[in-house]
Amino acid sequence: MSEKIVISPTSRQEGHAELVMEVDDEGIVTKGRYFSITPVRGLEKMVTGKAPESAPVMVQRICGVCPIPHTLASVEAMDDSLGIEIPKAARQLRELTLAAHHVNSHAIHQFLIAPDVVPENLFTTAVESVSEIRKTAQSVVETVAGEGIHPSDVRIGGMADNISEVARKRLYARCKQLKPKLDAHVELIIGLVADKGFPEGLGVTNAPTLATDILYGDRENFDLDRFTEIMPESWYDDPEVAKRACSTIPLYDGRNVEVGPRARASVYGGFTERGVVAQHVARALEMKTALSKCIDILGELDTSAPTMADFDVTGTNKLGVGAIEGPRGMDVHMAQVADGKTQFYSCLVPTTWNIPTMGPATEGFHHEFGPHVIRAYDPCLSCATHMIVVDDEDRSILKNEMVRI
Amino acid sequence: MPYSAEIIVVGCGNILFADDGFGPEVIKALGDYSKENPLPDNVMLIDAGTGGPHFVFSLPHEEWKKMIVVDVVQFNAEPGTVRKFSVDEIPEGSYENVHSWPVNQPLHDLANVCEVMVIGCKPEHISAPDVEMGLTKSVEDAIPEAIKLILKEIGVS
Repeated sequence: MSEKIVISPTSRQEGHAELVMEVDDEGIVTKGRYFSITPVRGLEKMVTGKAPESAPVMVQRICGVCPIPHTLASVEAMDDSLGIEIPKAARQLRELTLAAHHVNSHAIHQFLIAPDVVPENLFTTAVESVSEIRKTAQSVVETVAGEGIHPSDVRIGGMADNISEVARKRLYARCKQLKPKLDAHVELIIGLVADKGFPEGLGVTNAPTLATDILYGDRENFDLDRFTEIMPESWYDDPEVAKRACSTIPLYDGRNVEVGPRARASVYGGFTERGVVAQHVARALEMKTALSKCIDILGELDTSAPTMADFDVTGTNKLGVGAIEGPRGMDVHMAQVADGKTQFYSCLVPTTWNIPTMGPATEGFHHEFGPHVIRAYDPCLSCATHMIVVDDEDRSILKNEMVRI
Repeated sequence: MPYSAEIIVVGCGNILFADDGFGPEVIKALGDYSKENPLPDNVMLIDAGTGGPHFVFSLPHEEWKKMIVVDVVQFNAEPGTVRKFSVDEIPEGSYENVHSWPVNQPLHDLANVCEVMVIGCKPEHISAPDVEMGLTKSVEDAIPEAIKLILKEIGVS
């Protein structure tokens, strides 16, 4: 006798999604399906036909959680399409911005999972340390990228300005000062996750991992030819789910994949653990990697070096790719510029990759663990939804049935 | 530390959804205004977009004395009407955004740390989830009034 458990929307994650689990008599999940119910964003249409500079400014407004990775993926795609080689200092400043954002965003996630893993007597300590870490990270983004939320100095061709020598020294000192605090915090989180006693093997899937870099992203490591995208009807065997799902299913080598901190650590860091605990551990450890990166860059940055390349925005119609490793995984933007206007734009945002992987990851364990599995992936669906057309033949559009928040 | 100022003016909303962009547009207009008429050093303007709860309200700073949130507010008035709302007039949970951010009523919590208010404008049209850039005329015309109210709160008029 199988029963269906539906959690809608799943909680303490960004964006709206539904988890449908079929369970057996013991409550063990036999089939898990996870899908986005966040309304369509229509981003690609919005930037098409406009000047290339419009894209980064608009995509950073898709979502209030990841404005930084989207801006970076967008300028990287434009740089690639326009054939721009950005100066070294610009690259360092971009890497610094993203590394600081990783620290901030992972800390936010620890705030989200705190009710799951932090005992009452340690709650204040954990939340205060999250807050302190975030303040330093946010200061770095604010100083380096112009604004803390919408990084206005991240531009096609590089960065609008270098930072001053005074700012470099100040941020360097602040990041160094944060290091012991962050190390202790990471240790605390890893310890608390271990103490939680999640069952062995929870959240383990056989999906391959996909990442382009240990922290920043590298378009050379994303092979467009190995990527395909299918409609939810072809993926979910439950027609009700397929009809309600608001995003397409991206596949790499024909398979669903896992992206994010654990995937990065596994592809580039020799990290072999899998499952819920491994997700939390890899994410926490990545905060250390990211802070070290901030310190390294701030230590060696030449603040008198140029940060903008000379370029021509006319474009040659080359399909440019920007691959950025966002906190939740690989964020790929593609842009094609000709005659000074964006002719084509597409985004493959981090959680879209994990959507088909998260459902099966709940299988084999009691359904009460379902939400823990989902949260371990830190899903963010605010920007994931980009499916409008339901029938490629007659171009009919999922409008009347579109889920509205 | 980020956002270190005594008076923080935070524009909230999404510029992609018509009048929802009121907050960020006011911040932009106030930024332009301040080029000619510099604001006091203890004031910071922040275009928070939709990231207010994540990037500002959850990072309280000990320096903060006054938090002026600029946003659209649904209330019984003609579109484009602007007025100041005390935090008690804002329903609890209205800034618990759609993404399940667990900081319940962050503005109410912030009110324990500093003075919190909302300069709110009644919207005429919010296009979400469809993208429409630009404010409607009634809301666009409300920007000077909003600036006047903000300047009064900052103490420069």
